[in-house]
Amino acid sequence: MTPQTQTAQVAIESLTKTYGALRAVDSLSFNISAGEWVALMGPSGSGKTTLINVLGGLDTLSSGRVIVDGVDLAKLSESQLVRYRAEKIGFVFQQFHLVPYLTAVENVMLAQYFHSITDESQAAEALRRVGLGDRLTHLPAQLSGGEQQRVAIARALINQPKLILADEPTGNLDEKNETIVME
Amino acid sequence: MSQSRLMFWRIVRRLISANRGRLIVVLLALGAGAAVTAALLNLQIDAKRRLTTEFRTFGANVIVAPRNADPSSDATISQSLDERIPPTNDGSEVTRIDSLYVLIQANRTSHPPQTKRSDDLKYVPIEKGAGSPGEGAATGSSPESAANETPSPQIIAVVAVGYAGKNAQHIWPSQIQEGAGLGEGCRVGKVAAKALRVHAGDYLILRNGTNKQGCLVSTVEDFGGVEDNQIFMNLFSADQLAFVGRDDRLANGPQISMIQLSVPGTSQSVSEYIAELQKQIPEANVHGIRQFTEAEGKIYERISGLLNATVAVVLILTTLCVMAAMTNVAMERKNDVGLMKAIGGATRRVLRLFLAEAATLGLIAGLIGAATGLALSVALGKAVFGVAAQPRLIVYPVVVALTIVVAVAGAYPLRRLAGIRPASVFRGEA
Repeated sequence: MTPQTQTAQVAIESLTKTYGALRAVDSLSFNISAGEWVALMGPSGSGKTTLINVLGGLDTLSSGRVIVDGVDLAKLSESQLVRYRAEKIGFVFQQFHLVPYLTAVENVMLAQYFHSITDESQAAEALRRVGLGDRLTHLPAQLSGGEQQRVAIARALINQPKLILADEPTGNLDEKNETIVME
Repeated sequence: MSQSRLMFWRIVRRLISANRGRLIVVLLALGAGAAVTAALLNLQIDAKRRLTTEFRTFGANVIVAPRNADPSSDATISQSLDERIPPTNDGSEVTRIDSLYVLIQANRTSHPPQTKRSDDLKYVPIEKGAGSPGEGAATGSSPESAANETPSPQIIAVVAVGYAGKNAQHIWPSQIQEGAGLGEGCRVGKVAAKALRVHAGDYLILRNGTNKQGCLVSTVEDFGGVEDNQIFMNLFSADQLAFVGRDDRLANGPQISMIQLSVPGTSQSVSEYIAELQKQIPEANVHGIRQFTEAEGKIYERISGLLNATVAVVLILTTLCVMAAMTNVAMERKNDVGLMKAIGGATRRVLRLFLAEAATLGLIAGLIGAATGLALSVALGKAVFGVAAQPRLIVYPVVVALTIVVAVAGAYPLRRLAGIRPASVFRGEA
């Protein structure tokens, strides 16, 4: 392990992920420091989502090494990966992925529930920060795409994760909502 | 309640109300299953109670008879044994009938026997030696004249039964009991009445050797059993026919052929009662009517087996209905489960939400269904047994618990959600 790797928030060394004969990610190496924003750009099928899934502990790597906040993902068991996702990762998906029968504030509280304890006022405050103070009790179906994505962002931030992984977060939004979400 | 637990139930509540159409279907399936189960279980318990208590009304279950007596003999026991019979068993009253069977000859007389008391014509004691078989009854102004009455030609042998007892309708048909008092006349079974050619209001001359007695036929009864061949009278009159002039009666007090008891309680407690009674009355033979007890057990076993099988089938069908609904739920919730796992939900924790949802549905359906079923059993009991079944409270928690078990078992398809991998769901592969 290089000295640079030891100090990085995220360290990826020769990461390879294959699906059968398909190499979705091939010997990728890079580091991300704390507080750093990194944008992965590439054509469809270039392995962006695969990399996010591996970094988020949703998928396993085929070879190489991935260390996030000092944790070697390859050495984690299934249950340890669950705790890793709850404590260190915040996800924002292109498709929003909100639970349809929970209200906006409950969707945010769901992340708190799986992390530790729930705090409704804190969840409501997170929604206010993304401009949804008046949509707390709305179901996802009652929210616009931009609003749903903002709920997802509030959910991703509520547990103060070490790493936020956003997979095309504005891909399903119009320009106006894209601006709101990015802000 | 902790914040986590509050959130747990908050999610469960949302899960339950997520799809109202499915909620109604599942509640209806579980509720109907619970209702039928409650009704059948209540009927089953009620049937046991009826067999151990109310079915006793069909006859005596304990007999006290002379020891080592030939059934065809005229051996007797003292009526004073009644005093040693425990009056209750299992907290309920033991009822009894003292009976004296006398084989007599009887024939109809066309005129009422006369006594010195003109208002008491129903039984006319006739002293020993006042007549002999075949002489007929007298119609004169004295008892002796009754014996001289020109008889009808039919003189037949019948069994006269004298009886005395308290609340003895548990042992004999109630219409026999109604005429147990002195001066009420004879009640004649329809077969005997036909042979004697008597009707209500006619008079009979009854003879046992040289003992004679006249009596008014108060009613002709259709008992539907061996009683149709018998003539019923009060115990005193039968005693007059049987023992007038016999020295043993004077020495031992009133004698009877047997005591029939209706002892309430379970088979075991009745057996214990019999053993205790035998100790109290060593000079007599005390025995249960086993045939009835065994028949009783077989009836209950059949009813119980049938009801249990039906309950099992109903519960299995209910489980299948819930499973069908939950299979759809499992398909619908793949994304939700994938998401929950992605944001840190352990498989066990996520599945616990769905199992709690199923258990809650089972609880709600069980509470409503069991109450409905108990009410249903009252109506069914009335239709099947002719008497409304008594609701048994023990059935209620049992059925609610069974419904919860069925609901949780019906949620089995949700277990497939345990294997869902979030990445696969998000890629659209699951």
